[in-house]
Order: sequence, then C-alpha cells, then structure tokens
Amino acid sequence: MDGLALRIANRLLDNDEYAAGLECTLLGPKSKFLNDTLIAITGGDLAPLLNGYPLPMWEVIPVQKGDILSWRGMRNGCRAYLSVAGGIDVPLVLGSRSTYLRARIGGLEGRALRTGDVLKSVPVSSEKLEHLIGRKVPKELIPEYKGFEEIRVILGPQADHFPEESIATFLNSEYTITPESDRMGYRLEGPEIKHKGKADIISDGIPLGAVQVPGNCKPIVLMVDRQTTGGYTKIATVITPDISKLGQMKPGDKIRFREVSLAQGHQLLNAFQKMIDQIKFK
Amino acid sequence: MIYPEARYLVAGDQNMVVEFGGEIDIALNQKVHSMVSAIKQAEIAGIRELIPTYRSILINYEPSIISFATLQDKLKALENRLDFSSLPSPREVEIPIVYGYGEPYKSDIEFVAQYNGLGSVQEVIELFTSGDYLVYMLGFLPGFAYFGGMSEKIATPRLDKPRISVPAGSVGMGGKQSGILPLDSPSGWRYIGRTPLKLFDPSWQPPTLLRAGDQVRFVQISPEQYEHISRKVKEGIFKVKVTSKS
Repeated sequence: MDGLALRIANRLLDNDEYAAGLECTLLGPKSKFLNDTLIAITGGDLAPLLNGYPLPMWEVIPVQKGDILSWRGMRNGCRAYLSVAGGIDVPLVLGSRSTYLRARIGGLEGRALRTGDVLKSVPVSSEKLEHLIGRKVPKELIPEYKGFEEIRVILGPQADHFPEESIATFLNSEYTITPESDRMGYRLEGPEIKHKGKADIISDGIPLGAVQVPGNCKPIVLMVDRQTTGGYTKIATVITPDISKLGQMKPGDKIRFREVSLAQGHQLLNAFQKMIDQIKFK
Repeated sequence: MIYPEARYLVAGDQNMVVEFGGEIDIALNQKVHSMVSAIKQAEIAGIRELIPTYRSILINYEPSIISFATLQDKLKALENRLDFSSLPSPREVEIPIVYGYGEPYKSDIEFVAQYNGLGSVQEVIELFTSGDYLVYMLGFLPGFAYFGGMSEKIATPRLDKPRISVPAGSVGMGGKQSGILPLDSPSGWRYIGRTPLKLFDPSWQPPTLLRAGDQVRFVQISPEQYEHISRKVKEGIFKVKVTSKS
C-alpha cells in the first residue's frame, strides 16, 4: 500500500527495490530471527522492539540469531514495512511476490501469515552486508504521516458524468476514511457527489487510485488489491506519489482532494521517482 | 453505437482509456479486440499493460518513456488503419456443465424457471445450453469471463443480499450478464450449474482458461460425469476441448 516505504527499506539493504518484505498493518507479528542478518523497518511507526528495547526505524539494523522482534502498536501512520537483507524468498507469481488473498496467490502459499510460519530470505554474502551497517535515511526524506492529507487527483476518466457542482463538492469537501477500507479500496464518508444521470457505466478497466462514485454518491478510492474492471463512474484518479500517503491512512483519518493537471501529474511523478533514485544514505 | 472516432481519456498519471463506444455490442467488442491485437503487434515502447473490456481498453503506460500525446498519436494512427481481418480466428471452448446438482444450484435454477414463467427447469437448461456465448472481457476476479449471448428469456435479477461464498466453477447470471466464477467468492448472482473445469491457474501461460474473444459452448453433463471429470481435472489429466474456428 505504501510502495515508497517498502522501496526505501529495500534500498537501505541494497535489495532490489521490489524485493518482498512484510507489510504490517496496525500491529506487527512477534518473530524470532533464526540467523544473523540485517533488517530495516520503514513506514508507519508501530513502535518496533528488539528483545524488548525500542528499535529505530529508517536505518539498517543488525540482528542476531535468537533475537525477538515485537511491536508495541501504532503510534503514527498505519503500515510498517520490514525488509530483510536479500529480501524474503517467495516465488514470483504472475510477475509479483506480493500476496493477493482474494485469489489466494503470491507470497507464502497465497495466504496471510500465521503463527509458526518460517520465512526464508535470499542469501547474501557477509562481506556485502558489512558495508551496509550504519546506513540511515536522512531525516528530511522521512515522510511524516498525519491524520489529514491533501490527496492530489487528475480528473477523469468519467468526470463528464458529473455536473460542475458535484466536481466542486468533490474538490472542496473533507472526506473521512471509514472502517470499510482495506487493500482493495477505501470507502469514504462525506458530502454526496451526485451524478448527471446513472451511477453505472458499462464495466471498464480500473486504474490504481481510481475514485469511483457508486449509486450512494459516496466515493471509494481503489487501492492495490482492486478488481481489474468495474461498472461505476470514476470521477478522478489519485496521482501515483499520493497512493503511498493514502496507504498510511486509517479509518477516521480525513482527506481533501486537490486537482492537478496531467502535465503537473507527470512533473510530480518524475520528481517523486528522482527523489527515490537519488536517496543518499548517511 | 460505435463512436466515429475513439475517445482517448486520461485516467491518472500512468493510464489512458481508449473508448470505442458505450454499450455491450459484438461489433464494438470486436473493434476493441482488433485494436488490442494491433497495439501488441506495434510493440509501442512504454506500454506496460492492456486491459480490454466490453467497449474500451485501459492502457497502463510509463510516462517517462512515452508521453500521453505521443501515445495518443500512435494509437490514432493504428485506429485509422484498423484491419478486422487481422483478428486471430476465435477459439471455441467447450465447457461441461451439470445443472441443479446440489445447492445453491438447485434452488437457483428453480427460481430462474419460476421468475421467467417457464414451465420447467428443463426449459432453463435448454435455453442456457443452446446459447452461443462470446467472452467479451475478463475482469472482476482473475479468470472471470463476462459472457454475451445468453437468452434474455432466462435473465434473472441478482439476489438482494449476496451470498458470502459461492464455489469456484459456478455458472450463472446476474441480470442479462452471465459468467463462471473462477474462485470461491462472495456473489449476488444466480447460479444454475457448475463446471468441473479449472478456470484460473497462475502457473499457466496465460493463467486463464478463457480469453477475451473466445466463443464458448456449454455441454450438459450428468452428476456422475461431473465427479469423473472433477477427479481428472484434479489429477491434471483432463483435456479441455478447444478448437480454432476459421
């Protein structure tokens, strides 16, 4: 959900940016390391502990065989990312190592982790690991997670199914993330966005970040585990850099949408990519 | 209606929708598939993924490689010389189905007969089995095929409250639409039968049994045949009948 945090955790460890890590939502799993290795934890602050002592985030941490990682619980943000040197060794399924629970594919046997599972990491030579120790993400690059965010969108593909007043309502109102929100999508509560005509269209493709407005006139932002096609009007699409921001938001948090043009969206995407590529660790 | 010219719609910073019309129609859907095949042949750098639907294509592109405007120009050029004869000849896939065998199939097929004022379940079976089905698109769940071609005489509205889990292989309808569930899933459709075939396996290339543009024919089987084929499918030794029509 927060691809930025996972990519940074992987970069800290010189892993492939898209190597598999653990996404821990609200609370992480208590786990024991069976070998000496390096880890990095980024994303939302779930107060990680190593052998009971608070563990810094956004830096490379050496762990030893027998160490216990636990979490005190959410302090800010919503999802923490745990990367291990080499990346977690799960097979590529349809080009991805992530778990898609709905189809029961990817990750570890296509399911959520449970007590007793053993995860392996891809082996890395110890010389390679040595020079990673001490790496930290510079403070100014560590994202801040707030309970309110401005989320930038590009209008379309079906903005023309809404009257001007509805577009204005959509862009000038505050929306709250409801408990009916998961990796598939976030249902929002707030002022109604009325259609010109029907809420339904002939089903078409759904991009990441699409904001669909079904018949009840309340927007739903479609996230990483979304269905590929759907039949509701899509008023706008969240820009890629802001998907990670949304990924750190939880029920009760509030957002406001702000319109950017396609050209601005492309500039922001380019700057976002450059920022990740140019991270120099201290 | 097919638009005289496709609409090229912005769908965020990395996606474009090419829309050819606004309804469910065979000629329109064929245009979608011709365009998909033309785009694939053109091997345009910067295109990452294509999702064809009833009446449009969602194109995921890499804006650092190709701009929206350049992509649109290239696609317009393809659209202008779209050649329907280049469409690969459709495959015909035979799908065995057992009707009303166990629940929810038995209650659902009885409801479909009753709702549509048909004399018997047998009439539902005959109407459903005799249809020529076209896979307009895949979507919703991995391997879920949206069919066109079901007789409107058996169209039946969705349940008011979706069932929490319907087994993979269930064949049914939601209104005029029909399809097969590839995975156990919540669903509000009416399911009149079940196929023993597997519709999705991530290790297949492509991972779905059915593809957009396929023609599908249902063949009625008995509960005994269902169990028999089911076992063969599990052992991986059942051969699905797929023919290429020319």
